[in-house]
Amino acid sequence: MATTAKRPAPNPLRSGLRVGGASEPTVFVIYGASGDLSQRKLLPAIYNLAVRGLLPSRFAVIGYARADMDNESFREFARAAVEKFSRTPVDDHLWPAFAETLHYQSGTFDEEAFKVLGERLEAIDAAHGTGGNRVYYLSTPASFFPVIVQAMGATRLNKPPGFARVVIEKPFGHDLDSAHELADVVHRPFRENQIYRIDHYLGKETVQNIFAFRFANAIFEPVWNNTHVDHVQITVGESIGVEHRAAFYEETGVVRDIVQNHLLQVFALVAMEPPAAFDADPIRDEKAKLLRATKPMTIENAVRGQYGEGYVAGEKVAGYLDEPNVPPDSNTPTYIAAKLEIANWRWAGTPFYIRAGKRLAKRVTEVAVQFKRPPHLPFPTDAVEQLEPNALVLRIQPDEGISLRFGAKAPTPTLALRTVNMDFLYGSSFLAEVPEAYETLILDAMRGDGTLFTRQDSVERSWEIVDPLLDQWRKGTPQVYTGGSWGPDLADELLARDGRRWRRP
Amino acid sequence: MAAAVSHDDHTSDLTAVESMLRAARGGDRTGSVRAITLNLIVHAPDTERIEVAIEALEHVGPSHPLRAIVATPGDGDLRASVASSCWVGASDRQVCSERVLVEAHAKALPSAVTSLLVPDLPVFLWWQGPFTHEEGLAGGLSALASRLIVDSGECGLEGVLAARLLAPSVADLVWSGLHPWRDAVAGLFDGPSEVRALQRIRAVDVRGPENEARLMAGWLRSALAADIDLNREGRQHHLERVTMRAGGKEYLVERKTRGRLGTATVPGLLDYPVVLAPPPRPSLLADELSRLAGDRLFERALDAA
Repeated sequence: MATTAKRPAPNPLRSGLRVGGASEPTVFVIYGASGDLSQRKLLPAIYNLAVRGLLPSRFAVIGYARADMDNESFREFARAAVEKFSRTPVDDHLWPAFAETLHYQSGTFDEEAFKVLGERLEAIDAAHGTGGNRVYYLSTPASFFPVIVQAMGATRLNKPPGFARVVIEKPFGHDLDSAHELADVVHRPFRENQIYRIDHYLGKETVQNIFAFRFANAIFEPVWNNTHVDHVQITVGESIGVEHRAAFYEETGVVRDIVQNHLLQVFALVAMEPPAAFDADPIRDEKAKLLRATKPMTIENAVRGQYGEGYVAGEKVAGYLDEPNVPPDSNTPTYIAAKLEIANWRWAGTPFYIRAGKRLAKRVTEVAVQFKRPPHLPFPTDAVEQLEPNALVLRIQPDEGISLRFGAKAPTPTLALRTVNMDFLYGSSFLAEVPEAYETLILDAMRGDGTLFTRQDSVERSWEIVDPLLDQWRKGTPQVYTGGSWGPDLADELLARDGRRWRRP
Repeated sequence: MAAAVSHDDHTSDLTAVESMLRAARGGDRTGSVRAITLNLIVHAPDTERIEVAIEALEHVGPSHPLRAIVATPGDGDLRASVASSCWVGASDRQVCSERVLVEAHAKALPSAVTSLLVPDLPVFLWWQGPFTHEEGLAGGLSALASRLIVDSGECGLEGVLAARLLAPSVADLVWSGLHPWRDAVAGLFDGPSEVRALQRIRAVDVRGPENEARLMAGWLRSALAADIDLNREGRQHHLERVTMRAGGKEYLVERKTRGRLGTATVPGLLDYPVVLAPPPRPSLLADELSRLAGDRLFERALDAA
């Protein structure tokens, strides 16, 4: 657990309480509190933690931004944000008490202003008994990260009387060199175990279920290897286009937006070795080992695409080049299909095919594990001509669940085997409200649990995997695919040359 | 979240129950897959408690798809009725629970219930009413369950102690309802200086019902490994105040109105609001159904109460 001071004795009355929440007094500082992320995600998530009774009893938020607001106007801002974006409605009985925890400090990201912030934090500690414990959330554009953390170091905001943790949002650089540079800057005032790199994908219940599925069930792990698995397909499909984010997307493209972070993290969870414990370091160690064993991507094993006009769910949609603020000669890829190879004992020779894109036929994230055919089928050839090999599909979104494809005898007079699917929806076992990813991750940061956050070694290795491809893709143009399709023809050829084909999600 | 009871039927032949439940789920034609996570036996000795049970099951069902067997001892012939309830949530996800009401002579009830349990799934027994381990029905039903849920408000703490003799794991809904208070009391001592003050606590004043007060004191004694006197006042139905003193300072959690919120007072700090209202009873039941293992904290508090 990250600390900057000697830890006080634990409260014995906390032992064994069923809360599951954060108990250490905490001040949660939001840099960029008036911004979009704060409004859409952070403030609603903190409110929902309050509704669920998971916030520490001594807790305060300081919103920090340039916007000119006082406590009262920030509370009104927060209420409007919660009313608009929270998954639960505002509880008028609870709101006044919650609002009292919200404070605001206007200022710029420089040392003079941060000194004032430090004084404000000390005053809140004295009044609320928050003990000098701080979680700093950098909800600002990434370009401000270096400025903010440097000023925090210069004003000793990184060394409060209690713990100090800093949460930063992706992108963690735009290539390996810039990731190094960012890490160097952040590591000056903060140790690695004080840094919480948030990838909201990992906060999704459904992604965490991959852990449970793989490591809580004995029947799957014995066949989870190259002896039994022919190949794996990971699909992250979006039906939407770039919408109003063209400027951002032109800088990133599908590789930086999806592959380097979300997709490689899911890939790592699917392929990693079992950790010794469900704790931050054992899990992150195994993920890092898996990524180190993954060969860097190359142009020979990858296909890029850019969506053209078409129809999605019956609606006509524009092509990427016709989207607002997209340059007419843009070669930014909105789609990727690639083959990943893992050089380790478990997976050598078993490819992982990944694909991600915008304006695909539907929104879906899934992992399909395709098993090998039985070594011998003791049936007449015509009885098994419609029989597909076994497949296990982990659907992450939407309709989270598991689907198992297997062969069964059809009730026909002559022997005929057919492929059938057995679907299991998580929703048919648990109809409980699922928390937003940000609730899970903010709570974990307050608890000092880094399990679902990305460690610097994984960040760097992920860039090492994608950087060669990004370099090679500076030239050339992506193949245009029809909006609402499953991607360009070349993606089909990528698998066809290995004698395989994409499944239709 | 919408609930729809899809079927309701009666029989005196327990072997027909499974096919009736299958029909209630839509039969084989729908190809529906049953996803049930536990068996819950409910002891419902009278009509009022049957209604309480059915209402609670409607609340519990969406988060815990289960087969509930509501067992009522009677003098007449064996009778059973079945029902299936389904709830549709976000993204049209649907969960379904099954409910079997079975009435039989007390001696026959355990065997009737046994024949209705879904194999392999954990079995919980929610015992409503007074509890004594000398009673044959309690012993017979408890033997089927891995976790026994009682309410010390109905059976007293002595009844809970008796229940512990019969099941590997016992839960008390009164203890479950104390959770917000225990969380708030623990929160009084989250700061470093307050942790040190804990060592000087020798008494707790509780304004509220006896069982809650005894469990609160038992929890403090066991958690702090100290002799702590209990001073209780009032005959309220709900906890109203918990006070402790150390070094001449008073640490206090108080609920002044009937709302959800109360106030925590720590010397030297601003008072702050705390959520004190326990969740409704069906939510407490649902919480206990999430746990199969024993609650060591509760067991120690009960021993020290």
